[in-house]
Amino acid sequence: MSGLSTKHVVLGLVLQRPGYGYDLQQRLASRLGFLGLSENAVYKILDRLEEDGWIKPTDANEDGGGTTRRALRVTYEATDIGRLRFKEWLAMPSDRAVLRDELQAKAHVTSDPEDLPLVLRVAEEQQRACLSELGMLKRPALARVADPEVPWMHCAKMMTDEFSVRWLQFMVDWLDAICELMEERIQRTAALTHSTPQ
Amino acid sequence: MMPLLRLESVAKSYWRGTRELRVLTDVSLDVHAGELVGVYGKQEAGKTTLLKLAGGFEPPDAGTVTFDGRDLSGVSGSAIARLHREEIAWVERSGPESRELLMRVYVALPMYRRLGPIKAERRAVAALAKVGAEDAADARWSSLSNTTRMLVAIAQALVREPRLLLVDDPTAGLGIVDRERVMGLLHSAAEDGGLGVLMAVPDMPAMMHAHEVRSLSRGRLLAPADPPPDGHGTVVEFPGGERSA
Repeated sequence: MSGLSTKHVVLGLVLQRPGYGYDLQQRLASRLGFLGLSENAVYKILDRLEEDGWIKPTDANEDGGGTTRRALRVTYEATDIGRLRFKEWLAMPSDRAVLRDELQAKAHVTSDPEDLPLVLRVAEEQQRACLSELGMLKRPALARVADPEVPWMHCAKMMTDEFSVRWLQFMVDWLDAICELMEERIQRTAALTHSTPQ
Repeated sequence: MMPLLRLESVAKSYWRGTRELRVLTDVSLDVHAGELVGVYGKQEAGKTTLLKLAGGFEPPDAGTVTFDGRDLSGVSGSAIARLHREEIAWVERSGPESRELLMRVYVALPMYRRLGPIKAERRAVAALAKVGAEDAADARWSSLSNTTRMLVAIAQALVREPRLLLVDDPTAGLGIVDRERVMGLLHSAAEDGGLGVLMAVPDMPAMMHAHEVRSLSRGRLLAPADPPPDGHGTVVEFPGGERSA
């Protein structure tokens, strides 16, 4: 997640609807849980956004003085500059996910043939774990997410689900292919050992 | 509760000359009424074979297939044919053999003998409306889009009010919006209609609608793993996906 700008994501949430720290963090957790932002992180981002002049406290906030910001519930709204920066960010090429899997590393440091059955077992287990993940992603049918009457949020959720599920499909297919390869190799090794004359 | 369909340690091979191709090895699977069970697998993984065995269209080499408590291997040919007319419906995607047939007639065909032409066609039109393909009633197969063809195929299966629906690759050639539509239909056929639905797909997004998810891999049927108790080990790192644990 190196290049993903959480700053712009929070700014975007404020643009959708003005909010205070806890409220924004809740919205993040329910819709963008994968970013894993804590409430504290959200406050830090809000501070930076305010310093940069991209958001400001709404007029409705009273300066109570002395009390903490959490208790006061400072509600923020976006400034004109913030709106402009947000559009700029939308228009920029998006950062792509970095794909990495520990199994690849394991394969490179495996001693063949004795470790191979173990790695095969781990790969098969991982494949079943992918299926479990898919089970947890299940959701009720969204009749027509392209319908403008359906809130955009559902469409956005669908986009995230689609990413996750296609990534799972990739993993299952990849694991399938490498398991087949390892199985074949184990079998051939066994055949070779049996047929070698003493 | 007794499952509607049970496959127990089922195996199947095909012969290419003297070479044995093991398509399924020790496959066990239950489908209950009201449940949509999805089997994921790549091309050639044995999905279609699995469905054919499940519906009694082909016998297994080993193991048993039980539908509604009856071992299908002990059922006579004519009784199997009756099952296929009334209780076990295969969603046939290839359409009618005669390209002249209107869809209201094509969909009515499974009911002709039981209800007579007039009642059967009335049922067919109702079935088409139920899947949202009422416009296809007076059209021919060749003029229909991929999506409408799939809807007609589902209507033709549902018109007989079956108890088990077998669907092979229901989302092939469909875009994301139409995929949602077709999957929603199958989901509600199971959940609202009380049917057992067994579908095979080569495309995982369709599986999200299933009540139970399995994967056909190297001839074996994988079940989901129990979630790891400590939350690490075999869990896949998920860039951009929502963490669910």
